[in-house]
Amino acid sequence: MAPFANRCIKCDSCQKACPVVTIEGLRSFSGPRGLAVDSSRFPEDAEALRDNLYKCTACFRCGDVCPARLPLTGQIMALRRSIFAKDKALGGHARILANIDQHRRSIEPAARRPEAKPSDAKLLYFPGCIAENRLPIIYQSTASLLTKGKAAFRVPERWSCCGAPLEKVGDSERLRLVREENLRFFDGFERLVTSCPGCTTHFIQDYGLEPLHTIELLYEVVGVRKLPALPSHRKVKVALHQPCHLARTVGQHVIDYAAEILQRLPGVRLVEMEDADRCCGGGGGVVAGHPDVALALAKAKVESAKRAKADLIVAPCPFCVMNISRAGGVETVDFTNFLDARLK
Amino acid sequence: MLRELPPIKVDALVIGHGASGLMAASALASQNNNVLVVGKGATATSMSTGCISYIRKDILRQERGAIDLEALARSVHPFNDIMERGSLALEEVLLQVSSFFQRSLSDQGLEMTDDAFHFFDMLTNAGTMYSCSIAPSFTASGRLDRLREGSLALLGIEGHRDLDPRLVAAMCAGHVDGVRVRPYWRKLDCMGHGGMTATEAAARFKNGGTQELIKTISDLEEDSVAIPPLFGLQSVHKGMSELCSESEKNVFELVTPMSLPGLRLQDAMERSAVGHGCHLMKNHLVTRLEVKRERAVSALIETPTRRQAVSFNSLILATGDLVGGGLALAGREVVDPFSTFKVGWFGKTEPLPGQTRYDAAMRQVVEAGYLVTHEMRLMTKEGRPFENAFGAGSTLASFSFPTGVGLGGELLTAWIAAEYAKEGS
Ligand SMILES: Cc1cc2nc3c(=O)[nH]c(=O)nc-3n(C[C@H](O)[C@H](O)[C@H](O)COP(=O)(O)OP(=O)(O)OC[C@H]3O[C@@H](n4cnc5c(N)ncnc54)[C@H](O)[C@@H]3O)c2cc1C
Ligand code: SF4
Ligand code: SF4
Repeated sequence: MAPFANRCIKCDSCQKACPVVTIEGLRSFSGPRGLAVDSSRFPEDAEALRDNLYKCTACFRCGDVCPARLPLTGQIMALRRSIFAKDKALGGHARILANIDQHRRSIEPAARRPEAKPSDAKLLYFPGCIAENRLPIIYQSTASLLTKGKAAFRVPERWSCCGAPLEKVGDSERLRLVREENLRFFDGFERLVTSCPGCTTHFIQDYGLEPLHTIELLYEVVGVRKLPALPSHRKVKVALHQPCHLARTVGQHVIDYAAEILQRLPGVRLVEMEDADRCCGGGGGVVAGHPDVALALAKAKVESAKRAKADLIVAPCPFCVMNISRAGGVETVDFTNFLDARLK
Repeated sequence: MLRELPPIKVDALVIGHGASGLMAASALASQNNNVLVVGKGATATSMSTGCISYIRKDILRQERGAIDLEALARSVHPFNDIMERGSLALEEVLLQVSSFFQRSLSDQGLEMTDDAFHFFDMLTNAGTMYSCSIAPSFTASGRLDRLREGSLALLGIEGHRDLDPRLVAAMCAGHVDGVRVRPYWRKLDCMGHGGMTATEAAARFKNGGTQELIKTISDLEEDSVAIPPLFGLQSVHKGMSELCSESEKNVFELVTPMSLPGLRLQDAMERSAVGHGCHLMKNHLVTRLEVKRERAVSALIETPTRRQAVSFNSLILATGDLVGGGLALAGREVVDPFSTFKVGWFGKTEPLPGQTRYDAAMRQVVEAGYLVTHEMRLMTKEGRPFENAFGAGSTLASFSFPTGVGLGGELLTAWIAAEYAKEGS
């Protein structure tokens, strides 16, 4: 039994905060307390929870509100590790594993992808699987912003998926493999920057590196606030989505940075979106494992943006952009993409 | 490994984002102080019923010892001190606190009813009666009068766990204040199937629920109808007004802990603090404090991956009780997690007649907390008052729920703490 289970005071704060409970109800999803606390008492029955366990988006909201400060998301991931078996993986998860085995990417690589130019710059940019293969505009915008800010950078010639998706699937073996590979590939750098908050968090917590998220680099190092903005741009009401791994794991300061950067752009008005820090459904391997849950959460996010009368959702995370876009209804763009288009 | 962010400097740092911390922060910020509030974890405030109990004036006026309820006597300790020293006119302060508080909440859409510390009797969702003195407008507060004119329907919504009408009817034996109550279970299509938490119910209810509920309410024969909480902060005033006006009935929510009313209070107080100009950092934990003799100088705040030093002129500690980690347990002793301030309690360590050692130890654990002077100054372990560090709310000795008097007394401590803290800023 997880030794912490007895510290739960049964306050239900986690169940109320969990976005998946709100979508799924308690009948088909046990919720954070049900999984991490109650089920942890019966590890022998974990197998029966397979479907249930993989609905969690690893958004960290439950552990954040838990007054007993129980590491609920971590415990759910531990349960996933305990039942991991390649042949039992959900359809989408089996594809992730196959892609890792074949291409060292979590998704099918795109036919054309941005090319890494060799250089000896000390700043290493890790674009991650999505920005390289699904939304290359993020890769290009980041490169363009770094160039505008005169920050010399390079992308590692070879890299593997950081492993965050493998962690969510529960596959410790492949996770170790990609970590060891990356630590070999990343040589001679002084600073590491990532587009995806999931990669940022994973490099810190699993690799022991000290990466910055793009927004941290742009704000703290590149001084993006001093770069000149294009004067007149069409007026736009922007809802800033707060990705789970930025708002909760890296820290709210990144959201504050993002808001400050956006606010000073001509024509941009930030509108307050209800539940801005509620998971869009993009995390935890849920898009691959339970696409219906991920889509329902994305729709809820779009509804919040509509209620806030936003013209546009800006999301500083490739995964979020991809998932929210699936719901349609309000255009969703990545932070770097939006920013780059508005700076000289 | 935690990356160090550039250090920041503020006039006042408030640790804890519950009612006490936010109240002190708002009060300080409204006087042009640059205030940072840091908090992590669900607050007791968000779990409360969202109704504010108050220390009764008659109790406050009495001498210590002359009060019948021993627990209350202990909990008013600092106020007796204030009265004795006459440094602040208590009645004046009470009025200031409640008007500032209500104005701030009403700016955020949470209308509260109060009758200058008169106690309201309300019906809870467990069928028991409950008293408080400031309550959200659409609870049973101030509505029991209107109840006397007719009969009351208890309307349970299938799947919504907050109100079981049969339980309430059985608990109050079919009558509230002489008025007949009648339980109903009704199904709302918008709510779908299955048991649900209050927030989940509110999310489902957003999809066309109001119209469906108006029809359901209009079909009942009673002219007063009690319902479970269904609206979030943004829509509660509009939604409840609409239910009342469209059905032409007296519709109100039952008082419910661990549900929307507490979450609304928390939400409104957070918004109010931000509205007053505070910077609110949720999801951040204060892990260390640095003090130089009787002055607190700086604190370290952490996220799971980053850390930052904050220096300040004054500090307000409003970290709540044991449950939220505002206090810690070491063996049987309640201790200060920062190992900086004096913690204690006002009771006797020896068991009272008829009590076991265990009972006595439990009482001590529940009642222990930070000790403060009448100006809410925290003390060094040796008992010397701090120049610039103040305590507020349920983290203080005897203020923790359920031995304390609840939110009313705590807001008062927060106000006093802010009064003295601002002199240091
Ligand atoms: C179920 C329930 C029902 C209640 N009903 C009522 C009622 O109807 N009426 C009434 O008047 N009172 C009621 N109370 C009591 C009242 O809610 C509490 O006493 C009051 O909310 C305490 O407020 P606070 O600001 O002192 O602490 P809290 O609201 O607990 O806030 C303190 C916060 O600080 C955080 N914190 C602690 N340490 C740190 C740190 N180092 N860094 C960052 N953050 C930290 C804690 O996690 C916590 O979230 C109820 C309480 C409960 C639990
Ligand atoms: S991590 Fe998020 S989705 Fe998973 S159980 Fe916790 S709150 Fe729910
Ligand atoms: S928030 Fe924490 S203490 Fe409360 S029910 Fe969930 S696990 Fe238990």
